[in-house]
Amino acid sequence: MAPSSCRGEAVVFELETGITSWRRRLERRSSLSPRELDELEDHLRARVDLELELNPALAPHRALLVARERLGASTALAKEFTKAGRPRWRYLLLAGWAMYGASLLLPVAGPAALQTVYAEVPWSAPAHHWPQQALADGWILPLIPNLAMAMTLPALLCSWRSRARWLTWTIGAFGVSALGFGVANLLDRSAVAIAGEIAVYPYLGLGYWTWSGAHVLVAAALLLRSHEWASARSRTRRARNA
Amino acid sequence: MYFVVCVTEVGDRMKKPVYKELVAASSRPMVLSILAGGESYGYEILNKVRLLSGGELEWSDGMLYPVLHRLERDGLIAGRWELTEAGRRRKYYRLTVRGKRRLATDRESWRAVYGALELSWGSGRV
Repeated sequence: MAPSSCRGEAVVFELETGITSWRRRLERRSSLSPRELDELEDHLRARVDLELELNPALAPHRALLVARERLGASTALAKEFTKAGRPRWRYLLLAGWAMYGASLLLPVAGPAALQTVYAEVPWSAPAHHWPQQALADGWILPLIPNLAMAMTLPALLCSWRSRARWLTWTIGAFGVSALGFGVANLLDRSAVAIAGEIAVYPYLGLGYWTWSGAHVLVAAALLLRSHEWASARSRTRRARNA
Repeated sequence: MYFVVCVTEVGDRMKKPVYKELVAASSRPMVLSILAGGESYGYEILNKVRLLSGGELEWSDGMLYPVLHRLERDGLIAGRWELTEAGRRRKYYRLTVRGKRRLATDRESWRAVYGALELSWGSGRV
């Protein structure tokens, strides 16, 4: 292999390593989405190209250093992006969590809805009694949607970078099913037999509706987030293949 | 040689940059005006700002993208990802219909401000 081509490859390798480590550092120190990082990376590369064009004698790592300085420190960059406003999915997630919090304090059903099945659970009590009861009795099913909700808390605190589609679909499925059940119950208030005992669901309380709505909102927020966070890499790769 | 350097330094010291509040206020009409001329991307927009202002508007590289994203969120501009000839991913922005309307409003406002200041300065009071 010719020495000049070896040097060319070394320069490219040096630049790529430098840009990758810059991106990783920025990703760790800020809450910038992959798309925002993609755009900043493109800018950095354009700036490096210009520096190398203006001064061909400049070492690639020096050009990268100049470009990085012009772009600004990661903390300053994150601050500028925060000033521009938060993404829509964060407001939706916040609203979902506010609803979820409120639902835990509201009753699941009205006083008239005392059931024959699970009579030990106070139906008119606030919804947070349900997970406690479920924990005490070892029920798994009522815990799953609440655990799934708890898993979205890091996204609210900006420290969660995973797209976790399964979580979005799990929460969404619980929310939509619960709403569907509620609506079906509103339309037809007939008694339902569960495990041979008669259960009636005449008056679903505000806690139930808020809880179900919160799940739908959080699922919608996560869906919007995964769409906004989808890196341009996959899109351009698809375009290239097409 | 020393004289030339001194003159340049004095010149640079005398030329004060536009203060940051004005830079921030003019960022929206500036970006919209540039995009009215056709699709463009971040780095190119930054270069055009520098060129149009003769280097007097000091936009930091990091300041531009939050402005672009805010305008995109407000529906004034729209972005799309493209693959460049060099195989690099790049986001191109274009003006939307809403953006064109906002640019027309901004242009009128800035002309009104500029006109009033010009009249005031031309009257000899300043």
